[in-house]
Order: sequence, then C-alpha cells, then structure tokens
Amino acid sequence: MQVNNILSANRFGAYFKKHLVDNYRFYILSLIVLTGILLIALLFVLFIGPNINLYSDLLPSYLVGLYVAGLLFTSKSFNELGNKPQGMDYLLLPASHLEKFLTTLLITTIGFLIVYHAAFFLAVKAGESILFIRKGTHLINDLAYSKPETWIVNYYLWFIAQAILLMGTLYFNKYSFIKTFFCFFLFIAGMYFINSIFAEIFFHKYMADWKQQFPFIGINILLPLKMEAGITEYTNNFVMLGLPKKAWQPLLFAGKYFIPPILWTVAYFKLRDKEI
Amino acid sequence: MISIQNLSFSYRKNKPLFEGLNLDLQAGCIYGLLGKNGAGKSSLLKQMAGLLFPQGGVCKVMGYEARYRQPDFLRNLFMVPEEFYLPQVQISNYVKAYAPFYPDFSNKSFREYLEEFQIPTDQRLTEMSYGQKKKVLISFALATNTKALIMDEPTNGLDIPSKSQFRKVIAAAVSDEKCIVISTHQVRDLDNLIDNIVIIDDHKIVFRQHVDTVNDKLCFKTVSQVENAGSVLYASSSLRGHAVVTENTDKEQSRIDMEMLFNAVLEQPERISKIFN
Repeated sequence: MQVNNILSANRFGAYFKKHLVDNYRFYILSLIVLTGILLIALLFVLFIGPNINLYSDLLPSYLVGLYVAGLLFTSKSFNELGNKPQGMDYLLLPASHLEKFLTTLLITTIGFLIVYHAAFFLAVKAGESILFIRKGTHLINDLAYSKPETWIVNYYLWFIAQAILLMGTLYFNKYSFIKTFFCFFLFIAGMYFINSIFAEIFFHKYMADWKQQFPFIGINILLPLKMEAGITEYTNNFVMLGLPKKAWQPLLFAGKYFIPPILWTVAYFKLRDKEI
Repeated sequence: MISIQNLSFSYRKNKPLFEGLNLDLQAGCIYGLLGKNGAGKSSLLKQMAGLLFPQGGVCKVMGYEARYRQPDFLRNLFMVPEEFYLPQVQISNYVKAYAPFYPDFSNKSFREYLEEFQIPTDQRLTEMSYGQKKKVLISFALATNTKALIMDEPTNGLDIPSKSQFRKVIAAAVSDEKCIVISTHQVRDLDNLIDNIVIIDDHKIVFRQHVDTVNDKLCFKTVSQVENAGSVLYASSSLRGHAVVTENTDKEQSRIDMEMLFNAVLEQPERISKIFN
C-alpha cells in the first residue's frame, strides 16, 4: 500500500496522542502553575492597585500573562532537538516532519490559547470571589460593550512573536528565548540603520538628524517655509511624512496575515533540514 | 538494501570524515561495522538513518534517500543509538505510544525478548538501570520487525550474561528480508554473530568481506614461534604463545578472531587487499 509521506490523518492522530502522553505531566503542571501565578498577580492588582472595578482594568495583566507565558511556552518547543538522544528519538519516529511540526504548532498556538484562557478565567473567578468576600463588590464586565478592534491588534502581535520564537527554537537548540530576542533586536536595529541611510540620502536637508525616522512608519521632516531658486527657508515645525495609505495598507495586511505563516514555513523547512 | 555511493562528509572544513565512500549492504545479513575511535562508525550509521546528510554522494536505504526521513522509510528502519532516550513511562505505555508507528510490530515477540533478557514488564523505565533500559530498547527494536536494524555499540553497558543473550536474540531475529548493521569497538562481542565484516579507516571502507571468505583466505592460530608460522600478517604475544593471522595457503579451518583480523587489516592494508582481491 502506498504510504502518504507528507500528511496522514491516522499517523498525525497517533503522533499527537504520543506527544500528549509524553508531555501530559508537564502540561498539567504548567496549567496549575500558570493559574496560581495569574491568581496571585490578579489579587495583587485587585487589592494593591487603585480602584480596580472593571474587567478592562485587568487587560494589562491579561496581556502580560499572554505574552510572557505564551512566548516562554513556545520557546520550550523542539527542546528535544537540544539533546542528542532525545533528538534522535524525535527525528527517527516514523511520522512526517509536517505532522511533527503541526503538532507543535497546534499545541503552542491553539492549545496554549485554550489553556491560558481557562487559567485566566479560573484566576479571575477565584480573584472575584476573594474580592467579594473581602470587600463585598464585584467586577463589572465592561468588555462586552467595548470595540474589539482596539485590543485585537495584541493577538496579531502575539502570533507574530509566537512565530518568531518558534522559528528561533529550531535555529537555536539552547537558550533559544534569549538568543531569538537578541537576533530580533539585531534585525530591528539593522533595519533601522539601513532605513536611516536611505532617509539621509533622500531627505537629508529636511531632517533634524538621522534618528528622525522609523522603518515602515515614516520620517519626521522640517516643513519648508519658502522655496525659491537656490534659497530654502524652514519653519521649526516638524511634520511626519508617513507612508501613503496605498503602501501601508498592504504592509499592514501582510503583517497581520502573512508574517506568522511565512515564519512557520521557514521553521518547518528548518526542521526538515535538522541534523543530529 | 543499503546503498552508499561516493559519500563525502565532514564536521569541519578541510577535515573530511568520509571521502568518496562506497558501501552496499544486502538483506539477510548481519554486518559488523568495525573501526578505531573517531573513524566515523557512528556518523556512518547516522547517515544510514538520515540523521546526518551527505555533503557529496548519496545514501539510499530500501530505495529511499535517507536524508529525507520519509515515514515509509522510517517505519522500516530502527536505530538503537549508543546514547538513547526512553520516556519516563511504564513499558506498556511506551509500547502503546511507539508501536502504532511500526506496522509489523509484534507484541508477542516483544514480551519474548523481554523474557529472554529477564526484564520485568511492570517496571517503570525510570526505575531501570542503563543496561536494563538498553535491553528494553533492543527488544523493542527487534519486535518492530523493520527491514533495516542499525545498532551503535549495542553491547555497551550490558553485563556478561546479557551479551550472550544479545547474541542469541540477534541470531534468532535475522531473516532473508532483514539487514542488521552492528557497530562496535568491542569486537569480541560480535564473535559468531556477524556474517559480514566491514572495517572503516582513513575516511573509507578498507575491508568488506563475508566471514566464509575470511576463513578461506586467512588462518587464525596460536604458535610457539612466529618465525615458523609462515606468512604472518599480524602477531600478538601472550603467555600461551603467539596468536597470529596468516595467509591460509593450506586451507586450514580456524575460528576468526575479530580483534586479530581488525589489527591485521589496519597494519597490513596492502597485503590484505592483495589476498582478498
């Protein structure tokens, strides 16, 4: 019988099950620790913070937890590849690279988000109960009336950060969290300096200094007051010369929907090329 | 079964481990892969398993290029590495998790191998010694019934009775469809087990012969005086006399001494090559 060497539902199911059997202790322990830390953090916010009575007041704690826990959890992916015996066991198990990669991807995205929301919900409910017992008040759910567009951008950013970290775990077998952040910082700094070169080439006369720019955002320029042949006078007013809408809209669209899949694809190919 | 053509590989630039290495291994045989420390035995086995990629040439196993690690290839190959990993579960849970990936896995055979090695089946893998864990892995490897079975230093960490048990189970497991490759530096552990000897040295395969051919062409004996032994390829002195390897011009029957053969091949490569070609 011809075997599908890319993706087979049965094999994927068996691999997913095996992954859960191998890691269930770690996942259960993580859920308990995460709920505990979130509860302590929320109690700290509720009792120490000034006048917390709305659900939206908990959003900063929620987002900090989402990013810190999510990215730390993702940085633990493919940990086995940092250990020779475990790496050999992982790479020689008869499942395709795609099945192995998808398992990790699903667990670090959908799996993590489900567990994190369950942990946060439990922590909020426990925190609310303690608040009611101590102060006799409840938190008001104002999020039901807020526009999701105002905070949904955090999820787009979270997926980008997750994809960067996941890719980092395959490039760096050890200390991937720190190394990936360092490389990301270098990448951003590199882009910033390359952008500054082009900004200087095109807008040197109008820029107060080379730092008055940021890649994909725009350039701060001095507004010309009077332009005559050979004489240009400037005001002291800086204006932001931003990207035109027809340029930033596709960029924003690509950033929201294409960057994570592109990074996941790069990570998948890195897994395929992994040697031990 | 396993075909390596013109393989080049190095861990560092200008320091090649393999250069134009060629090797063909057939089904139905047990190959003993011998070599000095650092000769590249483990690296060659990793090439066969697709854990390392050729920098030149090609390594094919059952028609599959090993480097792609396709599931159809992996389910027909099992590698027992020198340093191995077993999850912290009971044996039964290990089997439940891993066996579904090997279509020819036999639970009955697995139990029989464990029994042969005297491993209690209800014990957690974490509570076992290194040797016991290795025996579990060897039992599992044999029970998968994969066509290619690659073992890197399988007798390391096994006690003396276990080494005999190992030889017994491997000898029983070989079939016409199966190719078993065992790499070791403890050459005596493979006595009476392997039917083909492969010696790797100086980036390439320097010797690859069937044991019957070795018996035909070489003679292993102990003599009181080396000078009277004839065309000596290698000699080693002990209290009992001088163990020698000579050209078997008189068609004498002798038992292969792996260690002596290995040393003879490395010390007299030209003479050995002349005798066998």
